[in-house]
Amino acid sequence: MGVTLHHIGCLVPSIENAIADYKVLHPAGEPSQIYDIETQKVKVCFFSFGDVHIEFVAPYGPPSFLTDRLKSNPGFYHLGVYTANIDAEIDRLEDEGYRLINKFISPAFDNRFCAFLLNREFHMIELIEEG
Amino acid sequence: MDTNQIIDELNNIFRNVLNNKDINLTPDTTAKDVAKWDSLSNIHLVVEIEAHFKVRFKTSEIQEWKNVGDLISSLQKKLNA
Repeated sequence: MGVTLHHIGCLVPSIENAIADYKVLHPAGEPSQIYDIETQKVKVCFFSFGDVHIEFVAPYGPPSFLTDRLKSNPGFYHLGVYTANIDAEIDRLEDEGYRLINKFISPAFDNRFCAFLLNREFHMIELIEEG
Repeated sequence: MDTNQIIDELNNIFRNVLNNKDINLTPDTTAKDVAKWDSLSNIHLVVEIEAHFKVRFKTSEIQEWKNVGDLISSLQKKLNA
């Protein structure tokens, strides 16, 4: 049982502007396509730093907890990690005090299952089922 | 604790967490009726409700709530246990 870091989620108002800014920092970095995760009302794009990525997340739609957070506290807000067995990992983390927010199918990961959890420090963790 | 008293206290929690002073819950209120009540804010609400009433909900219990009335019933069972 264990996880592997895949990305750091970063709330941004504009994915295109974020890509341009991070290209300045890391010119060799390549952005992925932009995915529309309709169930979560966000558009996302991965910007590669070798094996680790920044996931730019731009929420859309009606006011939500995430759109509020974008206004008050944009920037890095979750870790995305791979896990071999997402349900077993959710059970393990819940036993340790993490709270499940939701589980969903993500087009950004070939329609595999993902799940967001909050730990006791109110930090968000995204589990991504390995392909 | 009766239903009206619980609703009053839930109103305060919801107004603070969702930053909306106009929230007025009833047992029939659902997440669709309250702006910004989504899956992420729901966990923040649950954590605040648990701390306020000194109870703990299982994920399976939370997932069964369809409206505020279900939340209140679940809460009353724990408070009366």
